[in-house]
Formats: sequence, structure tokens, C-alpha cells
Amino acid sequence: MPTKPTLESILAETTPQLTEVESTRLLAQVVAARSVAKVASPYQFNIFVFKPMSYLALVLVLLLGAGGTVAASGSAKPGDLLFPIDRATEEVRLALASDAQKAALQNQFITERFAELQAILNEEKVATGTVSATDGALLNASSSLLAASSTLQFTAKVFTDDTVIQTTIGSSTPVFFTTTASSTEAIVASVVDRYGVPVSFVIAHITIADQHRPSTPSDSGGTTVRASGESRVANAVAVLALQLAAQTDSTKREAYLKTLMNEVSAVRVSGRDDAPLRLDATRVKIENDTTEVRTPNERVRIEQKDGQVEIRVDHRGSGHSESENDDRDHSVSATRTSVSTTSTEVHESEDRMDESEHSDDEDRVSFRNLNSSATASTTFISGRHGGRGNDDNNQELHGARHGGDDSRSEDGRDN
Amino acid sequence: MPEHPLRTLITACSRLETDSFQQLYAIVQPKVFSYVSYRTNTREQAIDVTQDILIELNQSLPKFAYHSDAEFFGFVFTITRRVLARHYAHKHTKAARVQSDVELDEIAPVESESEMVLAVRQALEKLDTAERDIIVLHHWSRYTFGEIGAMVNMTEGAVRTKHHRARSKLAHLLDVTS
Repeated sequence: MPTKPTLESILAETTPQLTEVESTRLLAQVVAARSVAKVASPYQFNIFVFKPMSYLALVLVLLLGAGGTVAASGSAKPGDLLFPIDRATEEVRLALASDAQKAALQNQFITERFAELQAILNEEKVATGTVSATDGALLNASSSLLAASSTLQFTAKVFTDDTVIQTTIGSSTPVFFTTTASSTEAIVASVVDRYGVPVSFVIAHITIADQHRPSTPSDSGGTTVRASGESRVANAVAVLALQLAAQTDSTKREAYLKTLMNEVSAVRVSGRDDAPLRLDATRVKIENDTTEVRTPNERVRIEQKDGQVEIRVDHRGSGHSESENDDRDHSVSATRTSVSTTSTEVHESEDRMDESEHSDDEDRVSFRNLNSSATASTTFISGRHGGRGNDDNNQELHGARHGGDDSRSEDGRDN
Repeated sequence: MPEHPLRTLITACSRLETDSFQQLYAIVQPKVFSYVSYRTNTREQAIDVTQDILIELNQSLPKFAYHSDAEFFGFVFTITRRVLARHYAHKHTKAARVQSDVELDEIAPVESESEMVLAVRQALEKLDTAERDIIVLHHWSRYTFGEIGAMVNMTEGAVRTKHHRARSKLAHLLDVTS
């Protein structure tokens, strides 16, 4: 009788196994699969492919790069590639500042704009040769001055702040330099130092005249810019004018605008028959004695008439302002500058409207300003706050001059 | 304390040493293939699935921290179950029941087997899943009860008990002595 097989033997006998050939082939395939390294698709850009250190490096590069760019933008001038970053940084600082800090920042930024405009003008002076001439590149040798002595003339104009010395040789373009010297001896010494010519020579060829007023850029011969540099200067002027339009302190704004006016009026373009700066492309317009800067919401107009400067800022309303205290429709102010008086007077005047529409609910603000220490006096002509429903809310306020103090007051309501 | 052979092999394989992998392959491949064979329809499928498992194991070895043999075989078994689940999900074989989970109730039918193999498969079908896995893993894949316990998340004693019952049942079904 055959014995029954055991379960152990049956299970062992039926165990699935690979043949030696199959096993060898399988091993080869597994090893081959291991040796094939995975290659990332060149079209794949997946942030999850990066390792943590890659993230860290990326963040550092972005942070340091951005910080460096912002730092570098600090010295950028209008027209430079980084200047928009500089302006954006300033806007952020203004947005984060308190009201007290905001006014200080506005002044700081405007001062920076003036410095940048001056830097651009200085570059243009160098490019057009007027500065180098002044510094002695043209008149660099005393011998050349002495040789030209028959037609050489030094003219020193002593202003209340500076003394401007003009050097002219024959019919050539005069060159200027400025010194703080005010006495005759000091002025002569400064010319001697600058050009290295004998004192007697300077005394023989110099004319000194007291001007009894502060100097202006045009007194120094102004700035001649190249035709290629005109747009750059115009852009810097436009940027500055627009920032001035946003200046909340109207007194400072008007002072700044006056300074800007003086700067711009002294700029001439080389090769265009001594033509003034063209600012049309930048929405800044200068015609004869009038400078105008336009923005979508504002217009700044600086006009010079008979030695007086009138500055007008028009704020255009949104068309929805019905309130009489709506800030968007607030007033316009104007100033006049006179060089002959020693007082500044402000008083209310009757209104003159640019446009026919005029509502009855208007606030009039008049203010007075006296700067007794200045030889130049300024007359501020009343401003007015008015709410009107029209889109173009231009107003101009005029005032007659009268005596007053240096305080500013609001009075009067017009209806 | 002497270095464990399997630990040495696994460490060497992590460094992509081909000779070490051949030795590890000699240990793991029969265990994997025997289990996969009973879970697939044909020998070709079993070979393909085994190949996928071994490739995945080979790629995963550098991430595996060795603590014990049982843990390593549990690691292999986890890969096996995952690859089998993928195989069932993707192949959609008609003969085998298509399931995303490997918790099969029945043994995959085979196309052609010897009478004895067929008889064993039919007998295994009559066991419950846990008993069947223990029989296959112990007798075909040659795992110890401790290793099986680590694989199926049971104690060694529970595995022994189940194995004893399954063995008696299978012997009765096959009309053999246990």
C-alpha cells in the first residue's frame, strides 16, 4: 500500500521557481534598469525639483538683488533707468509716514529733485563747455588772458547772496563763475586765484557793480544744454514740477516753483539761436515768460510779467464733487514777486474765473505773508476753496497788495 | 557583535555595488516570484511583476534603514503588494479579478499547470485569505513565522496558530498527511 505524500513535499514540489536562464535574464534587466539614470526633461521647470538649498539661494539672490537695486536707485536722476524705482521707493516712504513726517519727506524729496536737476544741468554745462571755460579750460593760461588783454573784461555783479563774475574776451561767449566774496579786494583775489593773473591786471580790467538783490541763474549766464540733452532736462523739470504740485504746504510750494522758474528760464539750448528749453513732450510748456506743467488732474502755470512771477496751480475735480469743502476742487493760489519792495502783502481780491461756470457755494481763503528780511517781496493773492460739479474746475484768484504781517489767515466767504 | 549578512548586503547595495545586489537578488527573487506567481495569471505576468518589484526595491534600498531581517522582508512585501495592486489596476486582466487592493479572496486562475499544481491551487482557494497567504509565504517563499508576522502585521504566535489550522485544512483537502 503506497504511503500518502506529505503536505510538505507537495508544497515543495509545486513551489513556483524561475529557471536559471530566466533568473539570469531577470537579474540583467533589473541591474540594467538601475544603471539608467533618470534625466529631467529640459522642458520641465518645476519648483518642486529644486532642493531646499536652491530655494534659499533663490530667495537670497532676490532679496540682495532687490536691495542692491533699490540702493543703487537712490543716486538715479530723472531719465535714468533706475529713477522710477527711486520714485517708487519715495512713494512707499510717503505712504508709510505720519503726517508730520510726510511734510519733511516731501521737502527732502523735492530738494533731491532740485539737486538732480542741478546735476543734470551741470553735466550739460560740462558737455557744452561753459563750465570748463569757467574753470579755466578755455582760459586756462594767464598768458592767453594777457595776450587777449585788449579785449578782456571782468564784470563782477555783487548780489546779496553771491557775487557773479563774468569774463568776456572780445565777442566770444562770456563765461561765469560765482564766489562768496563781496568786497573789492576779495573779488579781485578770487579772480587772481582762479586765473593766475597778476592783481594789477585784474584791477585794470574789472568792473564791480552792486545789485542789491539775490542772484538768479540767469545772472550767471544760465545754462546752455545740448539739443540731445534737452529732453533729459525737460523730463527732470517735469518730474520736479509734478512733485511740487503735490506739495501740501502752499508757501513752500510757491517758493520752490519760483526757484524752478528761475532755473528753467535760464536754460538755453545750444545750436537753436539761444532758444529756451522746449518741454512740450513732457507736458511742460515754456513760452516766453510762461511755464506750464500739465497733469491729468493738475496744471501748474508760472508766469513772469514785468519782473513779477505769478504761479498758479489748478486742480481739476473729478466732476463728482458737490461739496463745498471737497479737497479735490480746492483753490488756486498765485504769487507775485517784486524786487523793489521790502514787504510782502496779501489780501483778498475779487475772483476771476477761467470758465463761465461758477456756483454760489464757494469758500474763499485769503492769506497774507510778510517776509520783511528779504529784499524781494512776494504778494500772495487769495486762494479759494469751492465745490463745483463740473469736470474742469479751474479757478484763479487775484488779490491786490496791501500791508500785512507774516502770518497766514483764512477769512471771508464768497457767495 | 558580528555584522549581519543581510545588513551588509543592503548597505553595499545602497552604494550601488553590483556584486552585492546579485547576492541579495539570490535571496529575495525566489521569495518574491513564488508569492507573485500565486497572485498572477501566467508565468510571464509573474516574471514581469517580479521584475518591477525588484527594480523598485533596488531603487528604494538607499532610503531603507536596516533594523532586522523581518523588517526588511516586510519592506519587500510592502513593495510587492503595491506593485501587484498597480498590476491589477493597469492590466485589467480578464482572468484575474481586477482590484485596486491586493486583498484578493481567490487565487488567480492559471492557464496551464500540472495536475498537482492545479490541485494545490484549488485547495488553496478554499482557505481564507490570511491562511492562504501564510501557507504561501511560509512554504513557497520560505519565510519564517516571525518574518510573516512582520509582513502581515500579526504576532508570531498568531501566525503559527493560523498556519497550523491552514495546514490541517489543506492536508485534508489534498488528502495528504499533514
